[in-house]
Amino acid sequence: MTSLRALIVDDDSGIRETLSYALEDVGFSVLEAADGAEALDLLRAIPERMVVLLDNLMPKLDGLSVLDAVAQDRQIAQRHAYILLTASPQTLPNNLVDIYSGLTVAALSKPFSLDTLHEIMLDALQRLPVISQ
Amino acid sequence: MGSRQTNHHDAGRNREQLDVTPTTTSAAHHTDDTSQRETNQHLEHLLTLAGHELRTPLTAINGNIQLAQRRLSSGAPSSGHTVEAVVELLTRTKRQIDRMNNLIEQILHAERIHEGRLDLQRARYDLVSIARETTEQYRLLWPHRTITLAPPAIEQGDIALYVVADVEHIAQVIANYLSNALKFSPDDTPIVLRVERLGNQAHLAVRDQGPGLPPEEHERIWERFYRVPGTRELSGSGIGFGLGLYICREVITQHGGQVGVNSAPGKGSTFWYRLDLAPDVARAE
Repeated sequence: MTSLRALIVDDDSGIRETLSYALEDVGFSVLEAADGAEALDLLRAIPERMVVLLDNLMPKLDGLSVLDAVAQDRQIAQRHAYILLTASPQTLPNNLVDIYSGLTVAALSKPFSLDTLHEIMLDALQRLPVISQ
Repeated sequence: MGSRQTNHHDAGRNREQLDVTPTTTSAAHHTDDTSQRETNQHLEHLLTLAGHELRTPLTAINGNIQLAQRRLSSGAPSSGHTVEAVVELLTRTKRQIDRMNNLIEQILHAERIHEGRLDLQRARYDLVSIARETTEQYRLLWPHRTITLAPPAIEQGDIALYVVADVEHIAQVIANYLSNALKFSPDDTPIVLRVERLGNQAHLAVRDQGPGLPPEEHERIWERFYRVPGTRELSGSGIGFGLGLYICREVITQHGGQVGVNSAPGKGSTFWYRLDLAPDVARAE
C-alpha cells in the first residue's frame, strides 16, 4: 500500500513539530517546509500526490501566494491537495474555493482539533482528480 | 483566471490590513476626536493582532494535549515509552504556554508604562554580564544564526561595566534589540552586539544587516503601536504589536539613559542605548 504523504508548511517550528507528530501517528509520511518558497520547490520536486497543510501568514511567500503560483503551474496544479491554515480567518476571501477552482483547496482556522484536521485531509485526498502520474 | 486575479487582490488588501498597524499621522495638531479615533483604531488593531498571535501557540497546545490523551488512552499507558512520549508532549506544551505568556506580558508591560506604573528595582549590575547572558539565550533560540559579541574581551568576560539598573528590564531591552535584528535581517548575515565605555556611560549597540531605515523613520519607530509600513520580517510570522521599541525607549529613559538608531536603506541598522556608569566606576577614572 502506498503511504499517504503530507507536506507541512509553517514558519512556526512548534506547529510543524506538533502536526508532524500527529500525522505520522495516523500513517502519513511527512515533509516540512518553513516558508512558501521552500514549499514550492518541494511541490515541484515531488511527483507523488500530497496533502499540503499551508499556513497563510509566512515570511518570503505567504500561503495565498503559494496557491497563486501553483494555479499557474499546470504540472502541479492538480497533483496535490491544499489545506490553508489561518489564525486570522477574516483575512481570507470568502470564496476561496471558487477563486482557486482549478485546485483542490480547503481552509481551516486555528486552533483546530486533530480529528477535524484528519477528516479534512482525507476528504481533500478523495477530492483530488485521478491523473496519470 | 480573471476572476481569481481580482478576488485575490481583494484578499491581498485584507492581508495588508493585518500586517500594517495604523500609523499616527505626522500632522502637528490633532483634534481630540481625531486623537480618540486613532487610539480606538490602535486598540482595535492590537486586539486583532493579539488574537492572531495567541491562536498559533494555542493550536500547538491543543494538538499536543490531544496527542498526550491518545498516548495515555491507548495501549499501555504506564509503559516507559508512553511516559517518555507524554513528557515530551507536555514539555512542548509548556514552551508554547511560555510563549503565550510572553506575548500577553508584552501587552501588559506596554500598558503599565503608558500609565506610568513601571516599577524599576534598581541595583548595581555588570552590563557586560547581562549582555553576554542574553546573547547566550538567543544563540540557543536561534542556533543557525551568528551572534557576535564585540570587542572580543566581552565574550571572554575580561571587561565589566557596572550600571545601576533594573536587571530584568535592561536585559529585556537587549532581548528586544536582538530579536528585531534576527527577524529583519537575512539568515546568512551576522548580528553584532557591542558593549563599550564612552566617557562616563556604558554604550550597548546591536548591529544587523537588514534592509535599514530611512531617516524619517528614526524617531517614529519608538512610538507606541508604530510599525514601519511595508516592512516584512524575514523570519517569524510578520506580525508584531509595534510595542517592542516603545518599551525599550521608555525603560531606558526612565533609567536616565538614551536610545537611538543609526540606519540607512540598504545599509542595515544599529540600535543602541547608553546608561550612566555606576557612580563608583565613573569616579574611578
